[in-house]
Amino acid sequence: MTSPYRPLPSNQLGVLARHRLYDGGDHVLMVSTTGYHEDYRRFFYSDIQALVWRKTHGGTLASFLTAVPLIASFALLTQPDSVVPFALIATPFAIALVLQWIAGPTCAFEIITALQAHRLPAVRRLKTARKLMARITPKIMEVQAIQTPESPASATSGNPPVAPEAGTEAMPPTP
Amino acid sequence: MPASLSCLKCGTSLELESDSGAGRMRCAACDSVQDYVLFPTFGQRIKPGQKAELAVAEGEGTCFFHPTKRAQVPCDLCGRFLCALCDLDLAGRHLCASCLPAAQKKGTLAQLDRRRFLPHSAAVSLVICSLLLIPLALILAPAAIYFSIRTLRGESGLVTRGRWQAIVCIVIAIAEIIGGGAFFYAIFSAR
Repeated sequence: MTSPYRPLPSNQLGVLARHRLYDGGDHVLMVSTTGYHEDYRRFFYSDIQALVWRKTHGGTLASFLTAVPLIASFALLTQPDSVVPFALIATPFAIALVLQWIAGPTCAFEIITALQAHRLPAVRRLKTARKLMARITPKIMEVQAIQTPESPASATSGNPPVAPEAGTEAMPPTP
Repeated sequence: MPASLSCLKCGTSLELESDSGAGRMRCAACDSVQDYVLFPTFGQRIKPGQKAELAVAEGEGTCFFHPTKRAQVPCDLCGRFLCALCDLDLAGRHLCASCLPAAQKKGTLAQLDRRRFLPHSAAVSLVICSLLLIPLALILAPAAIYFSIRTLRGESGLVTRGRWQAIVCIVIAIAEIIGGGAFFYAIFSAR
Protein backbone atom coordinates (compact mmCIF):
# COMPACT_ATOMS: atom_id res chain seq x y z
CA MET A 1 0.00 0.00 0.00
CA THR A 2 1.60 3.26 -1.08
CA SER A 3 1.06 6.42 0.93
CA PRO A 4 -0.71 9.30 -0.82
CA TYR A 5 1.59 11.69 1.03
CA ARG A 6 4.79 12.98 -0.51
CA PRO A 7 7.45 14.52 1.75
CA LEU A 8 7.97 18.26 1.56
CA PRO A 9 11.14 20.06 2.64
CA SER A 10 11.20 20.40 6.41
CA ASN A 11 13.61 20.59 9.33
CA GLN A 12 12.65 17.43 11.14
CA LEU A 13 14.68 17.46 14.31
CA GLY A 14 13.13 19.08 17.35
CA VAL A 15 13.80 18.99 21.06
CA LEU A 16 10.66 17.20 22.20
CA ALA A 17 8.91 16.45 18.93
CA ARG A 18 9.75 15.66 15.34
CA HIS A 19 7.90 17.78 12.81
CA ARG A 20 7.54 16.91 9.15
CA LEU A 21 5.56 18.27 6.23
CA TYR A 22 3.87 16.25 3.50
CA ASP A 23 2.02 17.04 0.34
CA GLY A 24 -1.38 15.40 0.52
CA GLY A 25 -2.51 16.31 -3.01
CA ASP A 26 -4.93 19.04 -1.98
CA HIS A 27 -3.36 19.97 1.33
CA VAL A 28 -0.15 20.28 3.32
CA LEU A 29 -0.05 17.78 6.16
CA MET A 30 2.02 18.68 9.19
CA VAL A 31 2.99 15.61 11.20
CA SER A 32 4.29 16.06 14.74
CA THR A 33 5.64 12.90 16.31
CA THR A 34 5.82 12.87 20.09
CA GLY A 35 6.57 9.60 21.84
CA TYR A 36 4.25 6.92 20.52
CA HIS A 37 1.80 9.21 18.74
CA GLU A 38 1.60 11.21 15.57
CA ASP A 39 -0.46 14.39 15.53
CA TYR A 40 -1.76 15.76 12.25
CA ARG A 41 -2.70 19.18 11.06
CA ARG A 42 -3.94 19.91 7.57
CA PHE A 43 -3.68 23.13 5.60
CA PHE A 44 -5.72 22.91 2.41
CA TYR A 45 -4.26 24.70 -0.60
CA SER A 46 -7.61 26.34 -1.20
CA ASP A 47 -7.56 27.85 2.31
CA ILE A 48 -4.02 29.21 2.39
CA GLN A 49 -4.19 32.97 1.96
CA ALA A 50 -0.60 33.96 2.63
CA LEU A 51 2.81 32.68 3.67
CA VAL A 52 4.89 34.92 5.91
CA TRP A 53 8.41 34.38 7.15
CA ARG A 54 11.14 36.33 8.83
CA LYS A 55 14.79 35.70 9.54
CA THR A 56 15.50 34.98 13.21
CA HIS A 57 18.72 35.12 15.20
CA GLY A 58 18.58 31.58 16.57
CA GLY A 59 21.18 30.34 14.08
CA THR A 60 23.57 33.18 14.86
CA LEU A 61 23.20 32.52 18.59
CA ALA A 62 23.78 28.79 18.10
CA SER A 63 26.88 29.51 15.99
CA PHE A 64 28.19 31.84 18.68
CA LEU A 65 27.57 29.28 21.43
CA THR A 66 29.42 26.68 19.35
CA ALA A 67 32.27 28.97 18.37
CA VAL A 68 33.08 30.12 21.91
CA PRO A 69 34.12 26.68 23.24
CA LEU A 70 35.86 25.97 19.94
CA ILE A 71 37.97 29.10 20.26
CA ALA A 72 38.50 28.46 23.97
CA SER A 73 39.80 24.98 23.21
CA PHE A 74 42.70 26.54 21.29
CA ALA A 75 44.07 27.50 24.70
CA LEU A 76 44.88 23.81 25.17
CA LEU A 77 47.45 24.02 22.41
CA THR A 78 49.64 26.16 24.64
CA GLN A 79 50.20 23.10 26.83
CA PRO A 80 52.68 20.39 25.79
CA ASP A 81 51.27 17.11 24.39
CA SER A 82 47.82 18.57 24.12
CA VAL A 83 47.04 17.90 20.46
CA VAL A 84 44.90 14.83 21.19
CA PRO A 85 42.79 16.45 23.94
CA PHE A 86 42.42 19.52 21.74
CA ALA A 87 41.23 17.39 18.83
CA LEU A 88 38.78 15.52 21.07
CA ILE A 89 37.25 18.71 22.40
CA ALA A 90 37.42 20.88 19.29
CA THR A 91 36.22 18.38 16.68
CA PRO A 92 32.57 18.11 17.85
CA PHE A 93 32.27 21.88 18.09
CA ALA A 94 33.92 22.35 14.70
CA ILE A 95 31.55 19.84 13.12
CA ALA A 96 28.56 21.53 14.77
CA LEU A 97 29.76 24.92 13.52
CA VAL A 98 30.18 23.65 9.97
CA LEU A 99 26.74 22.00 10.04
CA GLN A 100 25.26 25.22 11.38
CA TRP A 101 26.93 27.16 8.58
CA ILE A 102 25.68 24.69 5.95
CA ALA A 103 22.12 24.81 7.31
CA GLY A 104 22.09 28.58 6.92
CA PRO A 105 20.12 31.25 8.78
CA THR A 106 17.08 30.36 10.86
CA CYS A 107 13.59 31.70 10.30
CA ALA A 108 10.03 31.73 11.59
CA PHE A 109 7.44 30.67 9.06
CA GLU A 110 3.66 31.06 9.21
CA ILE A 111 0.76 29.89 7.12
CA ILE A 112 -2.13 32.34 7.10
CA THR A 113 -5.69 31.16 6.47
CA ALA A 114 -9.00 32.96 6.87
CA LEU A 115 -9.28 31.70 10.44
CA GLN A 116 -5.78 31.38 11.79
CA ALA A 117 -2.12 32.13 11.49
CA HIS A 118 -0.21 28.95 12.23
CA ARG A 119 3.53 28.84 12.79
CA LEU A 120 5.23 25.84 11.23
CA PRO A 121 7.84 24.41 13.58
CA ALA A 122 8.95 22.16 10.71
CA VAL A 123 10.38 25.16 8.86
CA ARG A 124 13.23 26.62 10.83
CA ARG A 125 15.76 27.48 8.13
CA LEU A 126 15.48 30.00 5.32
CA LYS A 127 16.81 27.43 2.87
CA THR A 128 14.02 25.04 3.82
CA ALA A 129 11.45 27.83 3.62
CA ARG A 130 12.55 28.66 0.08
CA LYS A 131 12.44 25.01 -0.99
CA LEU A 132 9.00 24.61 0.57
CA MET A 133 7.73 27.76 -1.14
CA ALA A 134 9.00 26.51 -4.48
CA ARG A 135 7.05 23.28 -3.97
CA ILE A 136 3.73 24.52 -2.64
CA THR A 137 3.29 27.95 -4.23
CA PRO A 138 2.50 26.58 -7.73
CA LYS A 139 -0.02 24.15 -6.21
CA ILE A 140 -1.74 26.86 -4.19
CA MET A 141 -1.92 29.10 -7.24
CA GLU A 142 -3.24 26.25 -9.36
CA VAL A 143 -5.99 25.41 -6.86
CA GLN A 144 -6.97 29.02 -6.19
CA ALA A 145 -6.90 30.01 -9.86
CA ILE A 146 -10.04 27.96 -10.46
CA GLN A 147 -11.85 29.51 -7.49
CA THR A 148 -13.97 32.57 -8.12
CA PRO A 149 -12.26 35.47 -6.42
CA GLU A 150 -14.37 37.71 -4.25
CA SER A 151 -13.77 41.42 -3.98
CA PRO A 152 -10.39 41.71 -2.34
CA ALA A 153 -9.67 44.11 0.44
CA SER A 154 -8.67 47.54 -0.73
CA ALA A 155 -5.01 48.29 -0.43
CA THR A 156 -3.57 51.33 1.22
CA SER A 157 0.00 51.96 2.04
CA GLY A 158 0.89 51.84 5.71
CA ASN A 159 4.34 50.33 5.78
CA PRO A 160 6.80 51.34 3.11
CA PRO A 161 8.44 48.49 1.19
CA VAL A 162 11.94 47.61 2.28
CA ALA A 163 14.79 46.88 -0.08
CA PRO A 164 15.63 43.16 0.03
CA GLU A 165 18.77 42.17 1.87
CA ALA A 166 21.35 40.14 0.02
CA GLY A 167 20.48 36.47 0.01
CA THR A 168 17.00 36.91 1.49
CA GLU A 169 15.01 37.97 -1.55
CA ALA A 170 11.28 37.46 -1.37
CA MET A 171 10.07 34.67 -3.58
CA PRO A 172 7.35 35.72 -6.02
CA PRO A 173 4.46 33.31 -6.49
CA THR A 174 4.59 31.21 -9.60
CA PRO A 175 1.53 31.83 -11.74
CA MET B 1 -10.40 47.94 4.98
CA PRO B 2 -6.70 47.86 4.08
CA ALA B 3 -4.99 44.50 3.62
CA SER B 4 -2.88 43.68 6.62
CA LEU B 5 -0.80 40.95 8.22
CA SER B 6 0.36 40.49 11.78
CA CYS B 7 4.03 40.88 12.63
CA LEU B 8 5.53 37.45 13.33
CA LYS B 9 7.61 38.86 16.18
CA CYS B 10 5.36 41.25 18.09
CA GLY B 11 1.91 40.67 16.59
CA THR B 12 1.40 44.26 15.49
CA SER B 13 -0.93 44.62 12.51
CA LEU B 14 1.04 45.71 9.45
CA GLU B 15 -0.69 47.28 6.49
CA LEU B 16 0.42 46.04 3.09
CA GLU B 17 1.32 47.95 -0.05
CA SER B 18 -0.73 45.65 -2.20
CA ASP B 19 -3.21 42.82 -1.64
CA SER B 20 -1.54 40.46 -4.11
CA GLY B 21 1.89 39.13 -4.99
CA ALA B 22 5.00 38.94 -2.88
CA GLY B 23 6.76 41.60 -0.91
CA ARG B 24 8.60 42.65 2.17
CA MET B 25 7.45 44.69 5.12
CA ARG B 26 9.08 46.22 8.16
CA CYS B 27 7.32 46.34 11.49
CA ALA B 28 7.28 49.85 12.85
CA ALA B 29 7.00 48.53 16.42
CA CYS B 30 9.82 45.98 16.60
CA ASP B 31 11.73 46.85 13.41
CA SER B 32 11.75 43.24 12.18
CA VAL B 33 11.69 42.61 8.45
CA GLN B 34 9.32 39.99 7.10
CA ASP B 35 8.67 38.55 3.67
CA TYR B 36 5.29 37.45 2.45
CA VAL B 37 3.51 35.89 -0.47
CA LEU B 38 -0.19 36.60 -0.88
CA PHE B 39 -2.49 34.28 -2.77
CA PRO B 40 -5.72 35.05 -4.65
CA THR B 41 -7.88 34.14 -1.65
CA PHE B 42 -6.09 36.66 0.58
CA GLY B 43 -8.58 38.83 2.44
CA GLN B 44 -11.55 36.57 1.68
CA ARG B 45 -13.74 35.60 4.56
CA ILE B 46 -15.31 32.23 5.27
CA LYS B 47 -18.30 31.66 3.02
CA PRO B 48 -21.60 31.41 4.90
CA GLY B 49 -23.29 28.01 4.94
CA GLN B 50 -26.07 27.20 2.50
CA LYS B 51 -29.69 27.47 3.51
CA ALA B 52 -31.90 24.45 3.02
CA GLU B 53 -34.76 24.91 0.55
CA LEU B 54 -38.31 23.98 1.42
CA ALA B 55 -39.77 20.99 -0.45
CA VAL B 56 -42.54 22.37 -2.64
CA ALA B 57 -43.71 19.58 -4.96
CA GLU B 58 -45.66 16.50 -3.87
CA GLY B 59 -43.46 13.39 -3.69
CA GLU B 60 -40.26 15.39 -3.84
CA GLY B 61 -37.30 13.83 -1.99
CA THR B 62 -36.96 15.35 1.44
CA CYS B 63 -34.20 15.42 4.00
CA PHE B 64 -34.14 12.53 6.50
CA PHE B 65 -33.52 14.92 9.36
CA HIS B 66 -35.73 17.79 8.13
CA PRO B 67 -38.85 16.34 6.45
CA THR B 68 -39.95 19.74 5.16
CA LYS B 69 -36.65 20.50 3.41
CA ARG B 70 -35.69 19.48 -0.11
CA ALA B 71 -33.08 16.68 -0.34
CA GLN B 72 -29.99 17.62 -2.28
CA VAL B 73 -27.64 14.70 -1.94
CA PRO B 74 -27.56 11.24 -0.29
CA CYS B 75 -25.07 10.46 2.47
CA ASP B 76 -22.14 8.53 0.97
CA LEU B 77 -22.05 6.14 3.92
CA CYS B 78 -25.65 5.47 5.00
CA GLY B 79 -27.57 6.69 1.93
CA ARG B 80 -29.96 8.94 3.83
CA PHE B 81 -31.24 11.94 1.88
CA LEU B 82 -29.74 15.20 3.10
CA CYS B 83 -30.73 18.81 2.65
CA ALA B 84 -28.14 21.54 2.10
CA LEU B 85 -28.03 22.20 5.85
CA CYS B 86 -27.31 18.56 6.79
CA ASP B 87 -24.86 17.86 3.98
CA LEU B 88 -21.32 17.78 5.37
CA ASP B 89 -18.91 18.05 2.46
CA LEU B 90 -15.61 16.40 3.26
CA ALA B 91 -13.13 16.58 0.40
CA GLY B 92 -15.80 15.71 -2.15
CA ARG B 93 -17.62 13.16 0.00
CA HIS B 94 -21.05 13.94 1.41
CA LEU B 95 -21.80 12.72 4.90
CA CYS B 96 -24.62 13.15 7.37
CA ALA B 97 -24.16 14.39 10.93
CA SER B 98 -24.54 10.89 12.37
CA CYS B 99 -22.09 9.17 10.01
CA LEU B 100 -19.32 11.71 10.45
CA PRO B 101 -18.59 11.01 14.15
CA ALA B 102 -19.02 7.29 13.54
CA ALA B 103 -16.49 7.39 10.70
CA GLN B 104 -14.14 9.43 12.84
CA LYS B 105 -14.42 6.91 15.67
CA LYS B 106 -13.80 3.94 13.38
CA GLY B 107 -10.95 5.71 11.60
CA THR B 108 -12.41 4.99 8.17
CA LEU B 109 -11.86 8.54 6.96
CA ALA B 110 -8.18 9.38 6.92
CA GLN B 111 -8.99 13.07 6.39
CA LEU B 112 -10.46 13.22 9.89
CA ASP B 113 -7.50 11.68 11.67
CA ARG B 114 -5.85 14.12 14.02
CA ARG B 115 -3.82 11.68 16.12
CA ARG B 116 -2.64 8.12 15.68
CA PHE B 117 -0.88 5.66 17.91
CA LEU B 118 2.35 4.21 16.51
CA PRO B 119 2.54 0.59 17.68
CA HIS B 120 5.91 0.04 16.02
CA SER B 121 7.44 2.77 18.23
CA ALA B 122 6.13 0.96 21.31
CA ALA B 123 7.53 -2.30 19.93
CA VAL B 124 10.97 -0.77 19.40
CA SER B 125 10.98 0.61 22.96
CA LEU B 126 9.93 -2.74 24.42
CA VAL B 127 12.59 -4.61 22.45
CA ILE B 128 15.29 -2.20 23.67
CA CYS B 129 14.02 -2.44 27.27
CA SER B 130 14.05 -6.21 27.18
CA LEU B 131 17.58 -6.16 25.76
CA LEU B 132 18.65 -4.11 28.76
CA LEU B 133 16.59 -6.11 31.25
CA ILE B 134 16.93 -9.71 30.11
CA PRO B 135 15.02 -11.13 33.13
CA LEU B 136 11.98 -9.16 31.98
CA ALA B 137 12.32 -10.33 28.38
CA LEU B 138 9.66 -13.01 28.85
CA ILE B 139 7.12 -10.25 29.55
CA LEU B 140 8.37 -7.40 27.37
CA ALA B 141 9.28 -9.35 24.24
CA PRO B 142 5.77 -10.86 23.76
CA ALA B 143 4.35 -7.36 24.21
CA ALA B 144 6.75 -6.15 21.51
CA ILE B 145 5.55 -8.95 19.23
CA TYR B 146 1.94 -7.94 19.93
CA PHE B 147 2.60 -4.32 18.91
CA SER B 148 4.60 -5.45 15.88
CA ILE B 149 1.70 -7.61 14.72
CA ARG B 150 -0.64 -4.65 15.15
CA THR B 151 1.70 -2.67 12.88
CA LEU B 152 1.80 -5.42 10.27
CA ARG B 153 -2.01 -5.61 10.32
CA GLY B 154 -2.10 -2.01 9.14
CA GLU B 155 -2.34 -0.04 12.35
CA SER B 156 0.22 2.70 11.91
CA GLY B 157 0.60 6.39 11.24
CA LEU B 158 -0.63 8.14 8.12
CA VAL B 159 2.91 8.65 6.90
CA THR B 160 4.94 6.35 9.14
CA ARG B 161 4.28 2.73 8.29
CA GLY B 162 6.96 1.10 10.41
CA ARG B 163 6.67 -2.31 8.76
CA TRP B 164 10.40 -2.97 8.63
CA GLN B 165 10.79 -1.95 12.25
CA ALA B 166 7.96 -4.32 13.15
CA ILE B 167 9.58 -7.24 11.32
CA VAL B 168 12.98 -6.55 12.90
CA CYS B 169 11.29 -6.23 16.32
CA ILE B 170 9.59 -9.61 15.92
CA VAL B 171 12.90 -11.29 15.04
CA ILE B 172 14.74 -9.68 17.95
CA ALA B 173 11.84 -10.31 20.37
CA ILE B 174 11.82 -14.01 19.48
CA ALA B 175 15.56 -14.13 20.11
CA GLU B 176 14.99 -12.34 23.43
CA ILE B 177 12.32 -14.82 24.47
CA ILE B 178 14.73 -17.66 23.72
CA GLY B 179 17.49 -15.82 25.58
CA GLY B 180 15.20 -15.08 28.53
CA GLY B 181 14.10 -18.70 28.64
CA ALA B 182 17.71 -19.85 28.57
CA PHE B 183 18.51 -17.39 31.36
CA PHE B 184 15.82 -18.77 33.67
CA TYR B 185 16.65 -22.36 32.68
CA ALA B 186 20.28 -21.72 33.60
CA ILE B 187 19.26 -20.25 36.97
CA PHE B 188 16.85 -23.04 37.90
CA SER B 189 19.07 -25.84 36.64
CA ALA B 190 21.98 -24.47 38.70
CA ARG B 191 19.95 -24.77 41.95
